[in-house]
Amino acid sequence: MRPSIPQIALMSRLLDEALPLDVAGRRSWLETLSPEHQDLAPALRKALLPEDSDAADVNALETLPKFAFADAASGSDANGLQPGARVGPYELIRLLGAGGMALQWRYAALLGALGRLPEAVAAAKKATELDPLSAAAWTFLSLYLIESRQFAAAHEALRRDIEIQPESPIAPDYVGYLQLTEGNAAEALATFRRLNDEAGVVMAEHTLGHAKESQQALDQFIANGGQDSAYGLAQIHAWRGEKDKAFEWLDRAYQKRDSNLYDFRNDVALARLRGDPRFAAMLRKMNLPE
Amino acid sequence: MNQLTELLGRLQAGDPEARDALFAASYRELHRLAQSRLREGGRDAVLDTTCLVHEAYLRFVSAGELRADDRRAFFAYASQVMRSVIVNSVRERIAQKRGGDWRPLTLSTQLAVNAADEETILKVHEALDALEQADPRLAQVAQMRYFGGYSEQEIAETLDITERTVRRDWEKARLLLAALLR
Repeated sequence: MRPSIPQIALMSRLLDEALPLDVAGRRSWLETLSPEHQDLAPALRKALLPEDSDAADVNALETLPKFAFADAASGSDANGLQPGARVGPYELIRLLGAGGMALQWRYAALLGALGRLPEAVAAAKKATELDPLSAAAWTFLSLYLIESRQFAAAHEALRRDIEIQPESPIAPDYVGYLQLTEGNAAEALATFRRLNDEAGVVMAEHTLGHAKESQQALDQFIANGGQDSAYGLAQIHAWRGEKDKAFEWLDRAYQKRDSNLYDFRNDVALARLRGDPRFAAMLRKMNLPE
Repeated sequence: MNQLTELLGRLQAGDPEARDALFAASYRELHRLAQSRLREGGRDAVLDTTCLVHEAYLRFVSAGELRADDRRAFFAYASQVMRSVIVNSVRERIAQKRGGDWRPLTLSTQLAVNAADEETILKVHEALDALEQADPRLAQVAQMRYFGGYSEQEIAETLDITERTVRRDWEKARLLLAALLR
């Protein structure tokens, strides 16, 4: 029989006493339940000793039952990126670009990997519109703006990013790469030095024509474990125009399934590699369109 | 400007008219967002209620109808509205099934919820009404968890209690709801 509201209120108070006890304690507590509460004993036993009863009904209350859209035709995607489609080494398990901020964010990453940079910028912008307080959404947008060489907009996106999350571990570094990409190597060097970003220092020193300092910074980077960052070394060598080494490290990054490879097609640090047949071969190897 | 902020203030002062106005505005937005997400989401789209509440909040803030500072108050209230959106949709769907009306025009006709789930949702809704009379805080935690989909951390922040308290309340609420559902 369904308990009355006063009985539920009483059960709530009694559960406060019994829930902190272990199983043995709960059994003892139930055995010493006062006569005036005996009518609640069966319900309390079920609540406190689920192994003695069917607990499935309690577990079923964990979340709301799932809703699904009945009409599959309504889920059409103009971009042809339907669940099940293969994109490079990945398989889409759900529709992207039609949901909240995080879905837009992933959609932008996918478009970027496919080389559809203007669309990636648009999708990343939409993510910031859906959740303007998400620092991650602004970080992501700034990446595609830098790669699209929309420097003023990238500065603004990074300003918003840092404003939302002043302790962001990524955004200040992106500021350095933005400065480097737009031609302000001296400012970039200062930024990278302040952040102790050795890879950034290598690249900025190189751009400033300081070959010796760039090599010293690279040696330092490797001494501090940089050889574990295959993709980072590919960026450095590509930036310095050392293509053979860059491709060698890019291949190592591929062997290690380095997650940074998702955006290697657009990476400004790898710009000098793009005309090389080995770059197109890398795209083919990753099953990405050339 | 800040229409919802003003309504939240009046609601906290016990103004019943503000409650109705706030409910109407929030309900409209959450219902619209739910429809939109389900329409866009394709087959097997999951109605992520907490995501809808976040989105509704941001839309109200960016439209200048709510101050960012009102996040907690809005979140506490929004799970109640979300519950109504869901329960009304399920009821409408059941009514349409009984009446043989299958026009795909409303949120409820777009929801593919099996009959057992529909029944569970309505039973939990009714059990929550009873729990609310017996222990309002437990009912609020359960409502935010079950209908709002909030995490324990979000509930703790919204209600200004510890996560440990939320876990304890949710455990107790589930046991009491289970007793009410038997």
